[in-house]
Amino acid sequence: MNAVSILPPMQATGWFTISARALFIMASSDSLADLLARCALNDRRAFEALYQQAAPKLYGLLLGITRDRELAADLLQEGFVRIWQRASDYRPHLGQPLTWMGTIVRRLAIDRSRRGDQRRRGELGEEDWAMLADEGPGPEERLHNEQSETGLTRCLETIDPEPRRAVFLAYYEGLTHDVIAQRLDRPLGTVKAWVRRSLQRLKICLGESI
Amino acid sequence: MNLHHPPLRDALAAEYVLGTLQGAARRRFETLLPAHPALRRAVTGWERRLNQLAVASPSVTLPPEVWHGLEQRLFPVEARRSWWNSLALWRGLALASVLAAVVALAPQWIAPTPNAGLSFAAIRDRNHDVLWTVAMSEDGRLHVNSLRAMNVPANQHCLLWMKTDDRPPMMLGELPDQGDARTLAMPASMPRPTQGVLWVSMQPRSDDAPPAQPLYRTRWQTL
Repeated sequence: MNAVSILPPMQATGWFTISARALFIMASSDSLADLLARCALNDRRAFEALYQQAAPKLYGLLLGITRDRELAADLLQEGFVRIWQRASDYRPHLGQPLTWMGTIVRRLAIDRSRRGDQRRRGELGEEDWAMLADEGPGPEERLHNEQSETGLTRCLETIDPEPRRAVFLAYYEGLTHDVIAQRLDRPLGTVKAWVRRSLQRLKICLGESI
Repeated sequence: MNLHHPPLRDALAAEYVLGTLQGAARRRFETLLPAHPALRRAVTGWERRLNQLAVASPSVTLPPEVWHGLEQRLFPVEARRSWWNSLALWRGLALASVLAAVVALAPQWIAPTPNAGLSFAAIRDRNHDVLWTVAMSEDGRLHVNSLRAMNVPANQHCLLWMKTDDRPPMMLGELPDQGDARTLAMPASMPRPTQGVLWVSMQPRSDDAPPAQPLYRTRWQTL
């Protein structure tokens, strides 16, 4: 039986209904894949639960690229509109649900930044960003904690630290080759070669020949 | 672009997904995508590989109006009904609506004259909708009204802080939600409270640490 059918209607009044909805969201142990599948059946409760679970991380991803809370929020909203509309397109072979949702929102952010001058950063300076994302570890450690069993973490460890940092700057901050070169104080050609070879190595390590 | 050369095709797809393919090369790549299934497959493969990195992004608390906006955009009738059907909304509306109307309609009449008259503040979201009103009575108590349901996750709450130039934010208490009202006390140790800035944070219930960045901020107005 679908758990949603036993819940009170969304438009009922009073605090009890709100609390019941909040409890439902908190108690939901549904995986993101289950929630996406229910979104494909127009289940709004599943969509709300999906948002509660995935939005903070996707917002963090967008903030890292845009450094602009308003723009990141706009992109997140646009991304979740697409997630709702395309939930039926999700297939496990496209990756984990968060990978699939990350593809949607990150593509929006990169498209937006590449249309303008991506060196124009948003209102959040490095210090502000460090405080907002103040979970201590950087992406490498978080990745290790989140995906310690996966091939991606193992393969990233086969890449030398500086080229790996260049890939991370491109992914998490949306930086282009020339900005990465400035940030790492390395020649542009070196950074381009690092990124190209790192990506090749990553693919080979993940078991896919080029 | 020689798209019949698989290694080059794959390298371009990888840098397209990573975002390091830029300028004219990126635009040309995008114009070629619709007509080249092999190129689209390469892009899909790289999205699957690289976007695994998304799990290592930091989780950052979202302004609640993002969900409200999303709800109104996708389910406009439902969102409006739940808003007007909230009976709790009406409880604090009498005072709150007067304050909100004053703030919204007549800001030019309001002169910043601290130490005199009624001090109040309207906390607005980025769409300029009033979320809470805060009125300070003569005895220093704060009367807070919630005008909007905030959809705060059950393990989090919204806190009101006072920030002055010379000291870290001081927590004033938990903000009401769902149209409720609440009275909070202004700490006696706070000199000239209306000179400060009110901050709102949304954070886990277990964590009352001062926010590094407020979700919203506003200044006092004085009538």
